[in-house]
Amino acid sequence: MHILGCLDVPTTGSYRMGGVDVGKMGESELAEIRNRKIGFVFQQFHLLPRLPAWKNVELPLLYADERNRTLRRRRAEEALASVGLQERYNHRPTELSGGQQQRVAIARALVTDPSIILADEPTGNLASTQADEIMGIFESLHEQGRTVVIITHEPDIATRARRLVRIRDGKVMDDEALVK
Amino acid sequence: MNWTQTIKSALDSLIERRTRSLLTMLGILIGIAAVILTVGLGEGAQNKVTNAISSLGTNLLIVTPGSVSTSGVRGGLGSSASLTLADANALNSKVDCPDIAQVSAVLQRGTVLTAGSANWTAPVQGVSPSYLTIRDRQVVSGQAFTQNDVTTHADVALVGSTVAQNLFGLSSPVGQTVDLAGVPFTITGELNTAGASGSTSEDNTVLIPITTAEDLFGATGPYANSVSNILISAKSASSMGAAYEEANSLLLQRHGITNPAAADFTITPQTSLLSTASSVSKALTVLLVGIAAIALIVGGIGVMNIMLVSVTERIREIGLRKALGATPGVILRQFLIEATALGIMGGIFGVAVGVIGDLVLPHFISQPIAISSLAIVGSVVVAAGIGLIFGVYPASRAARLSPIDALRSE
Repeated sequence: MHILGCLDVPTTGSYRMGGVDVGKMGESELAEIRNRKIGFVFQQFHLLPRLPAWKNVELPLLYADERNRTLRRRRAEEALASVGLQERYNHRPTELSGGQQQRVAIARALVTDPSIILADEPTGNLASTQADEIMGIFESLHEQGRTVVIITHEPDIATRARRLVRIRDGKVMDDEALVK
Repeated sequence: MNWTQTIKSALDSLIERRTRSLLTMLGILIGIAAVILTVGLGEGAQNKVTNAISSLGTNLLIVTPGSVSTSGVRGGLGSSASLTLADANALNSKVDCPDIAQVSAVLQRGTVLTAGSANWTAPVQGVSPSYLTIRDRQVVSGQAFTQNDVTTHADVALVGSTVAQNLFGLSSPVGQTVDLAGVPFTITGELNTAGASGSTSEDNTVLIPITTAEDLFGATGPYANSVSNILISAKSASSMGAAYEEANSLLLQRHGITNPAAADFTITPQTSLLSTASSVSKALTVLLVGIAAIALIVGGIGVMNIMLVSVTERIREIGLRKALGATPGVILRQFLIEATALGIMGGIFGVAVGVIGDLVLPHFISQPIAISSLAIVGSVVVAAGIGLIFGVYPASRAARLSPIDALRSE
């Protein structure tokens, strides 16, 4: 997961992303790839507690060097709207439920319009109804043509994907396509 | 992420932790306030000394006679009778000494003064009218004597305030008569108060024309026709050196001395007094600034400490920012700006406290304090520099954090 997300580089073997060997890249280049091509969703949400929702969503745009403030704000609001949180854009994370916080995190992953969304146990900290909501969002993202990679321990979450890769102790056990 | 956004983000995080930020700033604040105060004290003392010395007259050279040896006993400076009024007149030549503005010979003797029933002893100085300009003295009431009085050997006198008080009490001395060594003199004017130079009071003096003084004191004895010293003022502070050279070579020539080491006179520039005095107060300033510098280093270590705590505490935030695409450079900048901002704000508040101290303190101690604009600007810059320097280590630690380690840590 960390290697997929370019948070780490492989010590042996290689990881090619869009035909480019990531293992040979420097810190700054990796940061740019994470910023432009990958959106992260974490189990613990990792929102900055003192910033309102829209400012949390805006962060990747700041690092993408988007200079236009109005544009940043508009894109952040659009991303929040796409996860159904347009009403809550000025709330701080502490004022939101777990499901809402995770939706803010998804909006943050979406705001730079990346082709890959990496979700590490996105439903691990959520009640089942909220988990269902989140999965619904991921499914619609998939329909928009994005690659969504979800890591989970929960079989009913896993079976909602189109492709299932089972990993045990770091080894790929099997890799099957699920027909819907 | 551009600079304005980084600065905003850094300031936000300082405000977030405002108590801690303020306490950290306090360290810098105390150091800077100490610098401002000590530099102010040092400069104040220096100004006081400089003013005291320049009140003796500006651009002043004093020619004193050399020592004389009598039966192997060397008499020390001023004991010989080598300088004469003719020397003084020669120095006044604009041709030989173009850099000399004015010259006055001084013939001085302690003399008993009597006015009616009152008597007083004071140094009586025979001088030229130019003496007043050279020594920067003014006649506050009455009139100074003129060149004409010098030519006619007039029995006129100017008195200092101490003499006036002792002889005439509160009534004006102008127009009164005073007896100097039995000769009656008319007082034409009273000098301004000038305080003391060294241990001699400039106010306890009587000035009479140099020619009259020679008649009175100098006609007979071993010191006949000699003067006590010659005062020279140079055209400007920058021509002091040239004036010194001109006076030196002219006097050597007049006295027929070929070896300058054997000169029978000494020329002392006032600036050497000035530089001695100011070097003493500079040494004091250096000492005080040294102490303040230690305070600043301690403050800087405080900044480093708090920034390290901040990095550890925000390790997950740093990890997240990196995952979202923050480059190590951006993280480094943010922490450096935070540390520098702490330094600058500490510096500004420190300057404020220091300047208030500069303004308030002179009311409680009898020491003048000068507010130095150089110290103000300099110390804010130094404070920013301290923040920056002591921020480098914590910031580079934050920048080097691996994003996964940072995200994983609890």
